[in-house]
Amino acid sequence: MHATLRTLFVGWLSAALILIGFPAHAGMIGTESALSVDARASHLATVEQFMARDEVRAQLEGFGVEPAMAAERVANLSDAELQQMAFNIESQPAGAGALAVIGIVFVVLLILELVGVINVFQSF
Amino acid sequence: MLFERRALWPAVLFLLSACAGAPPRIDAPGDAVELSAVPFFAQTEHHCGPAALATMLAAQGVAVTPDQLSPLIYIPGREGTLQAEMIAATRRYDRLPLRLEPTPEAVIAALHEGQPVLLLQNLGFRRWPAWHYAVAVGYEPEASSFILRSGTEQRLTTGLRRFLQTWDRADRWAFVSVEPDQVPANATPEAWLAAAAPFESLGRIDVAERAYKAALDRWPSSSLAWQGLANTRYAANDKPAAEAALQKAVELDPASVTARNNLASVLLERGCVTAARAQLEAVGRVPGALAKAVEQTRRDVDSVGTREDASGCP
Repeated sequence: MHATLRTLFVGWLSAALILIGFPAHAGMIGTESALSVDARASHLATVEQFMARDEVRAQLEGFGVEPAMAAERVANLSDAELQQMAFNIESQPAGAGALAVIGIVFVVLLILELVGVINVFQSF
Repeated sequence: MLFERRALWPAVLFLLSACAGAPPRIDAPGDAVELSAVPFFAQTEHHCGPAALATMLAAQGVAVTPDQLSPLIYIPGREGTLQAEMIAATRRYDRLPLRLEPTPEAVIAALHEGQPVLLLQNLGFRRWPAWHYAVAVGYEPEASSFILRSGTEQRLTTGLRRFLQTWDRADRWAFVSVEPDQVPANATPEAWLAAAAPFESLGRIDVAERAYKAALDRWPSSSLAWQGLANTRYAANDKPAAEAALQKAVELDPASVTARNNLASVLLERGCVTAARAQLEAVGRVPGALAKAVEQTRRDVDSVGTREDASGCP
């Protein structure tokens, strides 16, 4: 019974989202879609786009972005950017800066030095 | 700190030399170039994204600081900034984020046109990355080195080999930000339209239209640019102009499914059923991603039945 109700609700929600997704452009295909078809075959359907937006927003919040800001940031992503970020914010390159790197390289060098692979520190 | 720095230099050379081949060189590098007027914002910890973006935008006349950009692009949990959001934030300031061809020549060409280049570097290793955004502001052919605004260094010179190593490990990702109607001399229509189309998707129709019109000035035979213009005209409810642009798009690329679908849709809206049907019949194989949209247009046309065409149809 519950399952049936849920199915109905999901169906209704999907329909509603599709309707929201195409307010004015009944049969028109947007340029971004036209380009993405040119470039590659994959494309998210409208409902999936909505889910991706929600997913990315939730992930941003999970990574410490303020909820209001997360919603605004997601609203500014194009379809392609959304696909890029959906589900793998964790693994995307996150530019952080030259400051951290000095530490990392230093630790690597120190280990190599201690293990005896290199001995660059001797000259200092 | 001083110890770290001095120790680092020969060590880095040592580690990198393991994968060094023949010295890289630039074909026809031209004259030296340095955009000295590009401002500098020193980064704070992990905030090279906001600093680099502010540097590039400020150079384009956008008054913005890293502190203003951080809430828009910094992700605390990742201690960094993602590429997609660098691009998205650039659009907020009405600048078109144009991806560059992945060659040092493209970076140099952009510099010669007065555009600082924002690029992603991997200062670590492929398996142990240390991502970093920097802004290229100059190139010296004599020394074969790039001049960067990077981290806390206002004028960091980086030799070509080191530059390419760090850029290669970041898949040579780079972009410039330009006014939406100023197409750089070395831009390709594909890259320009890919940068313009998101404005349309996000409802920034005026900016998208500026970019499409500029594209048409430059590449008048680009079917996709005409389609873009049609979409913005349609969004502005100027349907005759949308139709005219789509006619042009179909003429230039008769195999374009999107152009024919959209033309059919516009024709149908003003009661030209026969002409709309003719467009759909001329559509060849429909790529999977467009199947739904084209099917919908077919159903729309069929549902009108054999009603007589409105007057003034093509």
